[in-house]
Amino acid sequence: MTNPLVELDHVTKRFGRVVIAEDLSFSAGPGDVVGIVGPNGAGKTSLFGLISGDLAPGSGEIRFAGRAVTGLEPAVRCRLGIGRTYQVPRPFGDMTVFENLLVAAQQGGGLRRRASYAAAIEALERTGMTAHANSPAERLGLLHRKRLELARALASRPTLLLLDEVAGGLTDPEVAELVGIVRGVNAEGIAVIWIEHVVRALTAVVSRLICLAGGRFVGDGAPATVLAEPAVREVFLGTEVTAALAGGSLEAPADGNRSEP
Amino acid sequence: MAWVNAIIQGVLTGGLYALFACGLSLMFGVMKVINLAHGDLAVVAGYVAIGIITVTHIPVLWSVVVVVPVMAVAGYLLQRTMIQSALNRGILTTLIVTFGLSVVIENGLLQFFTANSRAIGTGLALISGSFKLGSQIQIGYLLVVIFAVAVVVLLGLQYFLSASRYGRLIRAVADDQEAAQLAGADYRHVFGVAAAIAMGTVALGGIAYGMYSQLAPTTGTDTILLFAFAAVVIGGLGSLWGTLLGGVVLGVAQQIGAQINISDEVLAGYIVFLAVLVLRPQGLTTRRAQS
Amino acid sequence: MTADGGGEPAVTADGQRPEAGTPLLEVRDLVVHHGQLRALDGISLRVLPGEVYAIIGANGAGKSTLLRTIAGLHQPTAGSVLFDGADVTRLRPERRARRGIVMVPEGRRLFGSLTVAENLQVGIAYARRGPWTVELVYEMFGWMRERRNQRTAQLSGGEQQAVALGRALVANPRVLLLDELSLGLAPVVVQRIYAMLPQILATGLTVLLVEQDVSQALRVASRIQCLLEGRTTLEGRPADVTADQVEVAYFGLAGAGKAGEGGEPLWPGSTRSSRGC
Repeated sequence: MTNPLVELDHVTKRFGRVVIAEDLSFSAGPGDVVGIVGPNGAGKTSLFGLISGDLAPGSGEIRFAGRAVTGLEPAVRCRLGIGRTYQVPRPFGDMTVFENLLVAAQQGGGLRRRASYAAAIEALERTGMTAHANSPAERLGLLHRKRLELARALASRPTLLLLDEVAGGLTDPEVAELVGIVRGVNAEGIAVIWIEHVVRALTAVVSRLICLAGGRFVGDGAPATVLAEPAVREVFLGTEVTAALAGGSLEAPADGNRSEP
Repeated sequence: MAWVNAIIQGVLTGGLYALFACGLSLMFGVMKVINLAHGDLAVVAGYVAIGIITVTHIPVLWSVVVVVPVMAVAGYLLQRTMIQSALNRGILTTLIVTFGLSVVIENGLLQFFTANSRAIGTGLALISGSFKLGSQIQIGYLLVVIFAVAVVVLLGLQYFLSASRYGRLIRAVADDQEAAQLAGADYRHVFGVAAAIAMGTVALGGIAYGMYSQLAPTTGTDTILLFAFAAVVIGGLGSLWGTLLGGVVLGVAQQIGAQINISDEVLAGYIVFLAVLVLRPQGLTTRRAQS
Repeated sequence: MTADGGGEPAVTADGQRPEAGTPLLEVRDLVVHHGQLRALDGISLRVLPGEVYAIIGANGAGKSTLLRTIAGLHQPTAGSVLFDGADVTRLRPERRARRGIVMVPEGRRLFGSLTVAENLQVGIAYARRGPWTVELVYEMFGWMRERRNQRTAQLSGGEQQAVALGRALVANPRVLLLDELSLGLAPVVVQRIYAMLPQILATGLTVLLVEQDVSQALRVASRIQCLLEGRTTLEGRPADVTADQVEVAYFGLAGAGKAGEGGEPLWPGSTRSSRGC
């Protein structure tokens, strides 16, 4: 890929014996939309941590817009244009929504006064939060908290947006609205990498799907193709189901294991 | 020789401090509660003992037999009501609530008993007397008895925790409250039992202190609680015998300080406390630092 | 494919009404929230005495939440949990355990400062009467007797899982809830543990389990239920479901990744084959 926006170059990360990333190499270009799926504990959120700077790799390099960022603090990387949401939104409860976004724009985006106001208003509009601009953050319901989390990441004017499981617990209409927002964000040129368990939300938006399991990429490509790959299916559905889906021959389970009521 | 005397004195006082401390350590270990009214409840026990002795004229040692179980039950009830509901709101809330309790108790005692200190008269010559080791070392019987009682209590506690059904439950709940629930244990009740033990032991400590020294409404915080805290920290959180070690170190430090300058007794103890916090915050007996 | 469709309707694989007979454990229209996050949206299930009922589904689908709500660690927003016909929805977890609903929680959750034997003894503390004893557990897991005085922190993952299972068994439960037994364990170890299910069932227990590995669940269960985003997308007997149905129910995408022809029955002897949804 020429001029990738973000690159992981042979990155390895371990927590004790647990391997979070095993010699991972990855790149995404400006304006790409990439989805990441995988079992819990596979290292998805840690992958974000490596990109955003919350985690340092054991070995390997991370580059953003051509520049090596390994070793840079998260705040610095945020200023460079990496925006990230966290699984558990923790807004500044006493502040209003707008004030939260101002903080994000000024501290995260490094924007000066007028520009930060503009960025905050833009983030409000993109996420449909204008009506709640003056509500204290702690009074928001779940959907709006998640929108605020997204808006906060957007207010720092990122060129790369990392979304971490933002669709969990949402009702169907809410998922649809979220997908719309992400599409809108990407349409303005912001690259998006989205970790999600709600697979149908991903497939509605992403052009590229990656499956991360055991610290490695098990599948990487068009969503339909990736979900059909035996290695990927194996991760989620196990051996027999994967074999059956491929039309392979099956073995009946050993009778000793099966119980009938 | 005065030094040897001081050190022996310090070691024996360690037993008293261990009585102060073991309940505090237990409550923190099991339910992560620091009961700021811990010392005040010991003083209450002392005052109750004084009251009973004044009214009924039973022998001093019998007051122990009456007061300690009553305080243990009170501890259970206090835990099931006030402290549990504070715990449900968060661990910081227990600090605030027990602080409030401490203030209420102290002011209540001040109101009813005035600020004068009282002692629990140990009429028995045996207890108020002393014996001599060699020609220069003099040791009070009372302190030896208190030390022996402390050791017996700690042994009893250790046996209880390691070998009895409730002791196991207490340890299990301390490890993993939810898993204990799944095994059928009502953790609120188990907490209550732990609190009862804590109250019983500190009540014993309070009465002992009333015999050894004097009790005043503020003794709970300025002496008992702080010494208990220091003993636990020095000895190491989560270790029963650590509270004895911590108490001994504290006592010895105090007596050495007193030898240097009589008014430096308490200060010396706190200097050692600070030193441990800085150099070895996990305490003398614990291997790793506590999170 | 857009994401604005409604949830997939529950498919009862053989098209019949759910099994007749009095369920030992029943859940009716359960709605569970974590704060404002909706984890379960109207789940119902019925577990019959003596069967192995498996809950499958992707992470975040609500499987563990369901089990924990049944165990009493979580209060539902709406709906009810019935045990042996009695409504236990408001009952505290320890009371449910004493009645016979015993859970082996996710991640083992052994008492770290206690030995193997002591962990089992805590399990006995509030046990019901029944065939399970510490001795029987030692017999079932041959290695355990020798290591009974070891601190559980020194055991391997599989050994810890065995102790956790033993701790639940000595309570003589009527229904055993197993939450993600296979998590963090090597496949061989997982197989060994699941191989003990028949022995466990032979003593009169019923098992409700949550399993991340779909194939493993299908191997051991008499009936399965697939959850997706808090709703049921599939229920029925393994013999009656096809691989396609499972895949669709799991991911919630009709026609997901259909590289091959699909639609083949999962287990031979099935009376039904379909071309998926």
